[in-house]
This record gives sequence, structure tokens and C-alpha cells, in this order.
Amino acid sequence: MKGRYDIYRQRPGETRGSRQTFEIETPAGATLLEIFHAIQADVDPSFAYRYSCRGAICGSCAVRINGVAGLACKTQALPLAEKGVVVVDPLTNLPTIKDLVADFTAFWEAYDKVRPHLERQHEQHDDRLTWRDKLSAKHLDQLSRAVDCIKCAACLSDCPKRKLMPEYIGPQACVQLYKFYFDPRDAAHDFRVAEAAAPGGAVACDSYTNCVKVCPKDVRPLRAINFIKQDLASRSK
Amino acid sequence: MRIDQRFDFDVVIVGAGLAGLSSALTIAENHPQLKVAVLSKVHPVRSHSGAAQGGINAAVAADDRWEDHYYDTLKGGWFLADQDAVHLLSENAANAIYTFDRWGAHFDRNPDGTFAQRAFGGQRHNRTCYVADKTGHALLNTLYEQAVHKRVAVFDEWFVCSLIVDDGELLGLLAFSNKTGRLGYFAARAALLATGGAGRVFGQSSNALINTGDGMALAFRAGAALKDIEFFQIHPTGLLNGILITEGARGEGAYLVNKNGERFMQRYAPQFMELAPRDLVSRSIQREINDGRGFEGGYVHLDLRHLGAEKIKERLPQIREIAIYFAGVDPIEQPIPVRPTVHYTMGGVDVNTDCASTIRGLFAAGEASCVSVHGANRLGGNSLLEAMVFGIHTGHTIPAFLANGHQPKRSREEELVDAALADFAALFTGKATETVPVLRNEMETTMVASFGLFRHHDTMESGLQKIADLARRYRSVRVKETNLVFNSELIRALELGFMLDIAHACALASLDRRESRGSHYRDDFPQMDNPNFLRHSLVTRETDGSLKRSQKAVTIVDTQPLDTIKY
Repeated sequence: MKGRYDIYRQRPGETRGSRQTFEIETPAGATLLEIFHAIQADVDPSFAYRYSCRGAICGSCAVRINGVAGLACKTQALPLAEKGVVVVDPLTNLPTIKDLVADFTAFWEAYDKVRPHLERQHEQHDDRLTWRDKLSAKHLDQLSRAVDCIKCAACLSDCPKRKLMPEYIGPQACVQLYKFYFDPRDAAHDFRVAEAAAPGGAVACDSYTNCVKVCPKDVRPLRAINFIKQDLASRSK
Repeated sequence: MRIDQRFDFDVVIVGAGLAGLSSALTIAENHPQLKVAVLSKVHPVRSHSGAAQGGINAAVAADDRWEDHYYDTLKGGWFLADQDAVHLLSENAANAIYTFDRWGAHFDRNPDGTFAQRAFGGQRHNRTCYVADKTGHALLNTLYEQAVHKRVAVFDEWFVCSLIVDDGELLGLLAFSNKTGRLGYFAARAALLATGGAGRVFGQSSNALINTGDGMALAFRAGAALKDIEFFQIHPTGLLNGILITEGARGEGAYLVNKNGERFMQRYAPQFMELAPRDLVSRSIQREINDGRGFEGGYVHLDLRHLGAEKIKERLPQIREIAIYFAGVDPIEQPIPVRPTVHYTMGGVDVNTDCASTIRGLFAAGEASCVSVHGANRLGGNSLLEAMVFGIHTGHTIPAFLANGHQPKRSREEELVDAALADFAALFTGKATETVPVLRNEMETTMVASFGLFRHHDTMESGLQKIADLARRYRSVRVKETNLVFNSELIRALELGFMLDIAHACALASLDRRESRGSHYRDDFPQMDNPNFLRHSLVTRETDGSLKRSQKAVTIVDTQPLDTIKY
């Protein structure tokens, strides 16, 4: 069938755009990203969107699909098109550069802010590493989820708190903070605690749960945030 | 058009995957006085290294030896790999693992704390270190964390369109920013190409859409040779859009079935059936499709249904997810449409064991290069390893090259940059009579039909003519949109130009190799032929634009090549 897609278009240098309607042949099995390719190849070569792996591991192609952030490559187009017009917009809580391309500058600034790297206590590798034994099963599970994060910014886009409070670092940066917060190898624990407790840190989260719903990799940012909050609470006792 | 900004760096690295970032980080850690820039057409964490699932081979276990890894790699590559390069790869593998561990990577561990290792094909030891089934993703992100920490200067979403080379010496690179649309000239004393593979020249590929062989083509245009570019590894089971369904599905008992409902592997490997070696399974599937026993559209079925819902959910959850999200098929209810898919580029920029090309100051590492560690066929678990080992390696060899105070002669720089700029501007001038999607589609189809799993002189000859014709037609492509900000029309056009160069070189090298070896299988020459073809192929572009073919001896150090390969 021919699906109808209302897709946001914006010229570079401008701050507002509008939706344009495309009627695109939509076979069973086609992903929304493949619909974008078809638009670019057959209708308008200047149509801009990000892509790389088209296998949900690079995090390039997050957009808002019928108002909810998600990966275009991981979304089957036909079931959506059968229900009606498919509306596609760029991510929110970030400015738009062109069409579906969002400006990630603020996203990476929040990421950098939590100093997301292992601060080594020593400069050697660990020949034998048994610290995982010290982490509980729920932390091991959440750590594995944190590693899964592909930095697509779907969570930041749909976070209501970030919209209300732009200085809040957002769910992804909190996950990044979590990744090192409980890591026994890390030598910057005091910094992590301070960063989590700072006004725009993990404590700013109001538990809207959108981040958990939109995450294409089931990272569950809110769960990571809650683990940090619990730890902060136990310290203040 | 004019240059908006000139930059001056000691080293410019193109590509921010595992090879490029490892090199940059090694230089930052050991030679902080050197000014290094990393340019990538995507953000570093979007690089294709992140898609690698399986793991990294390294003889880190107490009862394993790097010498065994060395031999397994040589044999797996049908002895076409250079033995000095494979020595570097296998001996430094453990150190690469330790370096990434130090940077914070979450390698899986055994209960006693030692590195967990899994079995991979073609190796005599469980040698593959991993981070669950997301090894590349985890390492790439760890590496990026460290790069940010060490303040590596990353120019993300900058697209390099040409190298400026004078008299066989690198002067710099011409590039533009997708975000700002600014054109930059990056003067450099040395450059590293770490741009990954070129799997996208084929219509059916597991590679990311960005794997268009940019670095290979940039070097080729500047006069460097492409080595062994006829070798592309082909995986048996990809979805119709190329995404891989791992061997694990067949390992759990999935059937390969043609349109008549036959388990056709019966015909080709009655003993091993679906679990025969990869190249044999790939060729069997393609044979069925070619002989009209595939489904319309050119595929066969991978059928999991007999395993039952419970087993599929429990043992193959990832495969089920991939099928549902990317093919719209739930394997509990329906078979998955699959066909062979191009997976890896063994060939690349010809470099020596310092990763230096024949252009002074120009280096290449990782899949973009051919230092020659994979030979005619890459072993699983050796691709991330190559990127890590030779990324780190160039972090030492490039500073060593610069240590004598190397300064390229810049007397003709301005003139050459202007010429490159004029070439670039020409893409926007005049009337287009050809379009990128049409040419790209014809290239992809031609490469699959003529240089896929079964190669034969006649089909390759007609494929070569077709590619040469496409290259001619490409000159009539023009880009309408002149604003450089996320100009997808421009990017697609430049990438197609790169890919046509590589396709052309691949066609020539494939025709010349009148034997079958590794991924290169010829119906008309089905045997491996060491006396005549145990040698590298080289393709270079002359100043008049013609392509020249030559050969280079394989470096043999201590291991006599076998005349037949059996497992």
C-alpha cells in the first residue's frame, strides 16, 4: 500500500519549519528508515536525516514518530501506515539543524559534564578482576543496561523535566554517571556523588518514566537514577 | 567556493572508530606535544566498529600461545596474509585487550576473574574475549570516553572530500562540516586513514550505510595502491536488507529451505547440513537462488518454527527481535527470508608494517588498510583486533615518523588546494544528466551479479565494462543543493564516486586472479594455485586516469604455505 507520511522539513539557518506530506509505497517488512531512503532517492534528494548502522546499535536515527521518540531503523512502517498518517518530527529538547537532524551539542555537553570515564586508581590493567562479585545482581543487571546505551537522545528528547529545567543533565547523562558511580575501580567517587547531588544532577529527576518507555535498548534510565538516589539518601542518614 | 578556515595539525586522523580513536588516544597519552585532530563524517559513537558483536581474539589464557593464533590466522587467510604483519597482530593482541581493560572496558570475566573467552571458527583454542554480544559497541564507547577525557580534538560530522598530495608527499586534507557548512583545509604533517570498509559497493551488505570506502578511495585517487581488493567476505544469512542473522540460529537447529520446501543443504553437505563452513553454505544458498529454487525476489527461508516457541524465546531472543523489528517477521510463526550478505573488506590501502602507504606521510589502519593480516579470508574475532592493534601501533609509528622533524614542502600547496576546490565546485556546476540513486543501484546490482559468490571470467568481464561505463556516466552527476549543511544529496554523490573507484579496482583485480582462494571463488578456476597466485594484487591509478595492475610478493617469514586448505 501507499503510506502517508507527514514529515517535518526545515531549511538550514531557519528556526521554524513545517510538515510536508509524502505518499510512499510501503511494502511489508520495510522500516521507517527505508521509507526515508525512498523519499531521498525518489522524491527529494535534499531531504536530510541521520543514519549509519540501520540495525539499532549506532543511535543515529532517533526521531519522533507520531509524537514519541524512537529509532526509525527499528520501526516497521507498514503497521503504522495502515493505521493512518505517520507523523515524523525531529527530537525535542534539542534545536533542529535541518529537516529531521537535531543539534546534539547540548546532549554531549551534559554527557561531558559527568566526566564519563573510568578514573583509574592505578595505571595497570586488571589481570584478575573479581569486583563484580561485590556488586549485587540488580546492579550487575543495570550496569549491563548502562553499557547498552547507544546515545540516541530519545530519552532526553521526551524528558518532561528537562523541558522544565534545561540545566537538568537528563536521563542519558545520569545513566553515564551511574556507569561509574558504583564501579569499584573508579577513583573519582566523591566527584560522582557531588555531581549526582548537584541541582541539575540525578536528584533533579521527577520520575516521569518517559525515559524508560522510549528507550530503544531497554536501558531503563529511571532505574539507574533511583539507584543513585537511594545511595545518596543512605549517605545523608 | 572558497576555504572558510585553514587548520594546522601535526596529525589528522580520518575516521573515529576503533582504529582511528585508538591511534589518537595512544598519541595523546604518549606524545602530548603533537597536535592531533580526528575527523569523522559521523559522531564517533556512530562508527561501524560498534556493530561488531562477537569479540576479539587474543591468546590471554595461560594455556594458549600467540604463536597458535598466528598460525590459525595464516591458515584462515589461505596464506595470503603477510607473516610479519600477522606476527604483529597476534603477538600484540593480549596487550590490546589489557589496554582496553585499563581504559575501563567491561570485558566478561570467568568466576576466578580471568578474561572469559568463547570459541570462534577456524581456531584451535577458545580465544575470543567479549563483552556479552555487544563487544564492538562497548569498546567503542569506552574508547570515546577516554578520548573525551584526554581532550582529543574531534571534528565530528566533517566529511573529507580529497587529500592534497604533492610529489608523493601528503600536505593536507580538504573537508567540510555538515553542521556548519564550512569548508576547511587541514594542513598536516601526517594523516591516518581509518575509515573502515567498503561493503556498500555491493547491493546486499551487512555493513552500515556509511561504509562506502571513503579512505580507500581518497588514498587511491592520491596515488596509493589498493591491495587484494578482490577479497570481500560474504556471510551466509543476512536479511533482505543485509542485517545479519548470526550463525547461532543454525547452531540451535534452524533449517535452510528453498521454495519447494527442501532442506537443500542435503545436496551440498549431507554430513554437516546447515552447519557446513560459511563459504560453502553461502555458495549453496546462492546456487539455489541462481537455479530458480529461491523465492521470488531472490532469497531462501531460514526456518526456526520446528524449534518451538519456548526454545526460540529462551535460546534465540536476539534473533527473534532482529527478525521482528527489521524484517517484520516473527520466527515463531513464519520462516525468515535470508540470503548471503557481503560482510567484510579484506583488501584496502597498501601499507607496510608501520601502516605507512607509499605516499610519504599517509598512513592507514583497520579495515580501510591492507597491512595484510586477513589474507583471502578473515577469521571471526580478528577485525576488532586489527583495528585495536594497528590503531595503537600507528599511535607509535606516526610519532616516530614525525620525530625527525618531517615537514612537507608546501611550495605548491595553494595551487593544489585551489585545484581540489575547483573539482569540488564542479559538482555543483552545469546540468545533471544522471542521478545518484540510479547509478548507485546499477553499481550495487552489477557487483552482486558479477563479483559475488560465483565469479567467472565472462560475467566479470561484462561486470567490468558495466562499472567502467557507470564511472563515465558518474561524470554527468550534479548536485542541485549548494548549501553544505547536512547536504545529503552531496554526501551521497561523493560516496558514490568513492565506491565506483573501489568497484572498478575490485573488478580488475578479480579478473586477474585466475584461481580460487578464500572469499574469491571462480567457477572457471576452482583450485587454489600457489605457484602462480600466492601474491598480492595491487591496483593503482595513473596520472592520466588509467588503472594499472601489478603484483607484490607475500611476506613469508617462518611458515610454509599449504597448497590446499582443509578443516
